[in-house]
Amino acid sequence: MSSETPLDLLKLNLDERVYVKLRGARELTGTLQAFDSHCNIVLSDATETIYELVDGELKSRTKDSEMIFVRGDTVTLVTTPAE
Amino acid sequence: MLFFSFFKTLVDQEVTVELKNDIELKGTLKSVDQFLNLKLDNISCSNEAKYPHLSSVRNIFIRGSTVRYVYVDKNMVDTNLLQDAARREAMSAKK
Amino acid sequence: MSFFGFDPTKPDSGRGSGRRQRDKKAEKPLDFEETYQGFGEHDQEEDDYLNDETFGNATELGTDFDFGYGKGSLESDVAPKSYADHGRSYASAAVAGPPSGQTGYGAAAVQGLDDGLDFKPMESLWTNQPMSMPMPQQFQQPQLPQHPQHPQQVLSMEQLERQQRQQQQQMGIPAQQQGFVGMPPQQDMKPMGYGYSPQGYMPQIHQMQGGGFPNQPQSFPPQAVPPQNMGTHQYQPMPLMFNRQMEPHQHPQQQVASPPSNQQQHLPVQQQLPQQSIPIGLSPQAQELGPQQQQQQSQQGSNFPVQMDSTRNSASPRSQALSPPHTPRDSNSRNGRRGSMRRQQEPLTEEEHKRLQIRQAKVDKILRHSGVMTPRDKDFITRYQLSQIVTDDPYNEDFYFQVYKIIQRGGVVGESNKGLIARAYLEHSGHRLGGRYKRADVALQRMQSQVEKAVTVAKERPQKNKENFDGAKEGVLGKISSTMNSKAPRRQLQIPTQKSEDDESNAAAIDEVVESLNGVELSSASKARRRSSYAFRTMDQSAVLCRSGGRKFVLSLIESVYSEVLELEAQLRSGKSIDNKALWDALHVADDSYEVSPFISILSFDKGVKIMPRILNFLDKAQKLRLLTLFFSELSHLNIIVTSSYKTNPHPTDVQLKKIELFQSVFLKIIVSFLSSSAEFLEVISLLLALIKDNNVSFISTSKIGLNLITVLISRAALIKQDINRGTVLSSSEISTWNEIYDKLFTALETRLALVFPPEEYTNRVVAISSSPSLLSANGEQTAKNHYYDHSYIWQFFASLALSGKLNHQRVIIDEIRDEIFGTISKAEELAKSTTVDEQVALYQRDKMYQDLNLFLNVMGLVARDGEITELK
Repeated sequence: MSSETPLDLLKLNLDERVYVKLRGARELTGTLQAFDSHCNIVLSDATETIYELVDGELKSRTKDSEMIFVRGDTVTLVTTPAE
Repeated sequence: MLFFSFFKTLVDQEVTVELKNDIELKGTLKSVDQFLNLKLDNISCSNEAKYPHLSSVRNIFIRGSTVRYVYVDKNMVDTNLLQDAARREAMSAKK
Repeated sequence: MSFFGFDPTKPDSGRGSGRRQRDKKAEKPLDFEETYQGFGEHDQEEDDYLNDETFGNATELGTDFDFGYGKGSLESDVAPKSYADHGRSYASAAVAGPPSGQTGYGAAAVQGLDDGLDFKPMESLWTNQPMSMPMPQQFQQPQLPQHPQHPQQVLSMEQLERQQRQQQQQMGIPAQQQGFVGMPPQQDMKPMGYGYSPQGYMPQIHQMQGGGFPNQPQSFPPQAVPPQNMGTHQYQPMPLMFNRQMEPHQHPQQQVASPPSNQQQHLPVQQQLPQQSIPIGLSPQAQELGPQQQQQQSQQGSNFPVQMDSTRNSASPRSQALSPPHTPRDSNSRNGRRGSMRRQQEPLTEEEHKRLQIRQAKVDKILRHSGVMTPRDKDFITRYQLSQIVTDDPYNEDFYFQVYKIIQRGGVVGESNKGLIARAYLEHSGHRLGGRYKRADVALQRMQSQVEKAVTVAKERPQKNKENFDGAKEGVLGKISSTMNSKAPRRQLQIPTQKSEDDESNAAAIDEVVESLNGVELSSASKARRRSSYAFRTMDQSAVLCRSGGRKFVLSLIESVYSEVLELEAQLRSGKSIDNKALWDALHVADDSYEVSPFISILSFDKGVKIMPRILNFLDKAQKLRLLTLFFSELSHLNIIVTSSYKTNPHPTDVQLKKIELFQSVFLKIIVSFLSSSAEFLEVISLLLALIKDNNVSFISTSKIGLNLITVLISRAALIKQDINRGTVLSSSEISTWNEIYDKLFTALETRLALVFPPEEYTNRVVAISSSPSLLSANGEQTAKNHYYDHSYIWQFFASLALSGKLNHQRVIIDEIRDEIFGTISKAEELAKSTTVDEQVALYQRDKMYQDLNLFLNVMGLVARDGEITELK
């Protein structure tokens, strides 16, 4: 545990619910199933939320997926969801 | 190599790829390489009305870097195995 | 508007902002005359019709510079007519991007140029191809003069002189010789780099390189040029210094490009090479290939950016067409040696020349990098790359795929390594059994069959005091329509009463158990513990985790456990001997430093639960026993118990139910198989002792999991006790110990037995949640099954409890749960009459209810059927 890297934090949360923020006003919550050093991620039972400005009003829509691979280059942060 | 390995198990399975430009392509994964470039067969565009230019394309090569998501069927993934594979990847990266 | 997306209004910021700045910079420090001259006084832009487009007109450019490299000097010195053409076309080519708003320096410019150029520019100076030489020259000719003298049209005498002087000094070449540009770079570059003020020469270098590497951009990626590097170079304003540095680098590159092995291919080139390069003073390094090659490669890397730069700058699509006419000049302008060599090879018509150029370009392209690495180098790289892929453990890199395929293929064949690796997952993920939920059923079934087996034995037990018992029951259950008189002779179950062969160690162990048993009520520590377990009967998972180091700590424990297990599994695969000490330590079983053992907290997470079977694979029996003892003694701290108790969690969620299901399937299986395979009677009761000693048994019994765990223990104990076929018969002290422990257990549960049944509100909720997903997929029968809360586990518990109990125990049980017994019967009868439910479903459900209930009743020789309870025949 002494040499803890940022990716170790991801590892701790394997099989746990995580919150992933993505480029383009998107976010995902889901159970972390896999990750690599590029921040490529696989989530299960995921919910994606997409925020959009419609006529100056902030709208969001969600999309559920049972298993999703997220390409790492769109990932901006990963954390545990606020309970 | 983890996700290369992962996608290899999905070959010949149906997946849905969402590109960074919002195009969604559903098709049979035919091959994948280490850059996670994907080759899909029998594709159909989930939002075809919006992107009619793909309607006549049957198979397609997708450059990995243009992928945003790949939606996969849950029963095509062994989650315990996958988690362990991720652990092994992390472990070997550290060594 | 600006060319390449630079902001012309920006102040000079060093190297980063592009060519214009480069020129400025070049001017300022080195050529004061020009600098001053330029400021607003010269109308130098007269003919520079694209200047505004290029740089935007937001800024006043004091000094002009020739973007195209092709205007000023060329016109005057070379071929005015073609120059005009050339200059214009060049400029337009170069500017092609910007007007349309393309700002990407690299992308737009390079692409445009490449498209137009095709292979032409290939005739690079530095490739030494004689044929190709003419081409580059053309561009460069115009350019050469320009750079030194930014005002292209207004070439002052001074400027001209200076330029010429520089060239001469550096190369020993006449000022006119613009042709040198076309020459192999090695020759020219060298001297330039070291000789002089780079100012004048920088552009030349660029040109030369550019000419040589028109296609360079394409080959960039493979070259693995560090991105930073590229960036810097691309935008580099002119780094005089920089250029100097670059030049040395080039030598190696060129050298490498034409290694000995390739000399035959590059015939003309190669011939020139030695002659020219040596006199110029090539660094010795460049000529030796072997050991320094790597170094050279890296140097090459730094070269490319420059080349790329120049490509854009100097390469013009049209240049090709112009080349033929220039050729003669070219050769003329060369220094003697080169010139003559060229000439010999150049007596060609324009057409031929063109064709040759094209061909040469192609060959060139093919050969360009052919000499960069020797076969040995390639071999080295290949091996290195392979070593990244191929490791000691063939599954390392492709673990998921390999194992997944084995599992999919339907399992483990033989004892191969592959088999071993897959087995853990096969069992773990239950593929063979069709998934996790079926596996859960299997675990439950094992427990159930254990109970049933015990009950079956009990049914055959002689009930000596049957009459008394029936009489007792009559009072409790009301009228029993039993055939009291027809007492079929029952087989006598032989219960050994006298154990002659009490072995000593066993006796000692029993003493120990008895001792700790006596301490059950007395131990203040355990009381404190129990209190705390009451106090923390909360749904707040973090509360439990806090008491064993916090969530992150526990998660890291789990991950280190995983690491150890994976490591051990790898060792197992490779046939190494296995040392589980690290794993054992990672489990923190003996860790007392927290109020709740970290091991218990590990089980708060699904992944901590899932890994358990694989952990147990590596533990010896003593370790397993220790682990399970800890597990049972801290049971009420277990998050899952709290979650699964209807008392503490009356409104379970979908997620929680899944967690419960998972935990149950994993742990029941672990415990059932441990108990049935290796546990001695004493060990079973010591586990039970651990459970009742440190926990609030009544609370645990309100949890389905907790109740099942108790059931597993007592039914196992009953089974062992009944099993007269066992090699070692139980000693009397064992039996009395068991009886004592049973009494304690019973006392703990007494008066609260009815609480085992969850309230209807709870069961309805569970049914609603667990049936909702299955409604989608399940067929009718399964759906119907899910419409009712499965009470079978409860009846199994009572059956087990009654089995081991004496008559008075059984009476108490019946007394306490009488309402539930009759409730179940009436519900079953209602179902049969009900018209709202599908008949088949109703019948199935009714039978199921009776079946569950009878498991318990049978223990006491009773059976419920058609709304009545009768004596079992």
